[in-house]
Amino acid sequence: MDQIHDAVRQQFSQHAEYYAQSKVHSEGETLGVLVDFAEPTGTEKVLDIATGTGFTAFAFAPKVAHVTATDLTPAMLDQAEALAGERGLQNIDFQVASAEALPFEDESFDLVTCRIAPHHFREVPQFLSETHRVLRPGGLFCMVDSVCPESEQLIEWQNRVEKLRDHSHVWGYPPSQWREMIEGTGFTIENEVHTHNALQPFSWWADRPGNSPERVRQIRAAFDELAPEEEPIFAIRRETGEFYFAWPMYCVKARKSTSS
Amino acid sequence: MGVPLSTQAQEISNELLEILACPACKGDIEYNQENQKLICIGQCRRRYPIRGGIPVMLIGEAETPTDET
Repeated sequence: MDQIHDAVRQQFSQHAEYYAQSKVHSEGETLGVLVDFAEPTGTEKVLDIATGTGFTAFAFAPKVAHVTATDLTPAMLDQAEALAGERGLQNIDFQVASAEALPFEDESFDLVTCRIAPHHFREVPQFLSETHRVLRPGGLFCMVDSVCPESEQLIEWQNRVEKLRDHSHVWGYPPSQWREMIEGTGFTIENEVHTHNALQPFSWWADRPGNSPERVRQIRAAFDELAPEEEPIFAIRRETGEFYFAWPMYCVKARKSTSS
Repeated sequence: MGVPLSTQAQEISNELLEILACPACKGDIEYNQENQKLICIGQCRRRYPIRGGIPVMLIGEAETPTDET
């Protein structure tokens, strides 16, 4: 295991319960966007990459034939399996796998989903190439990730803030770079939605186990660097003693060519 | 009460076996129920563990043929 994979597994092993309870991950409107993009008919074989505690897999399972859900971190899959059991979902199976080295035959799936995870991936082009490989010709790739604004300065700022808060964060891209990488892999983009995740109270978001009070102060200070005109980009809302914010989210529907 | 380990262990479905491939060499995978391993029968012959019924298909956690005793 390399350092990034180790950091990701350590981070998510410590926080599997946090993710199982996170409203951003379980109820975010981006789940609905993905289902709308995919228009499942009930016959699809789906792969959900970096399923975490399984919320995307759970949203699709009742609407498709079968969901295969993968994640790098066994503790996340343990939570996912327990939650699937509680919900009575039986058409999901789980594998520990890396997004950059998928353990599946070529053209195995009709639909690949991946939600709020690629900013933890070490090699995004390799993840996209693996996704393309395991999709059948004409298959769909539907992805959501937190993204940065189209500004070099804010790309640097947002990635610095994310890494301060969570050392398993690798890199957040702006939508233009996602578009370039997805099309460069051979997909045709059919739809895009630009939105924000649910507003999060800063203290709940920053003050997670493992982050010292000094670290939380550093992250808060980074938010204070933003110019007033930049605050709406992150939907910042200030209240006495607390502020709320949301990261921009990019939802994309891309299709593999039928002739490959 | 003398139930063989192989029947206690969770089954790996044929459907899953059909689509599983080695993450390293993309070779076909064979299920060894007795040892609860998924074995690459392609080029690299890596052996992937199954823990708690969940296949661990990570190159870094596989046994390679040189690990064999």
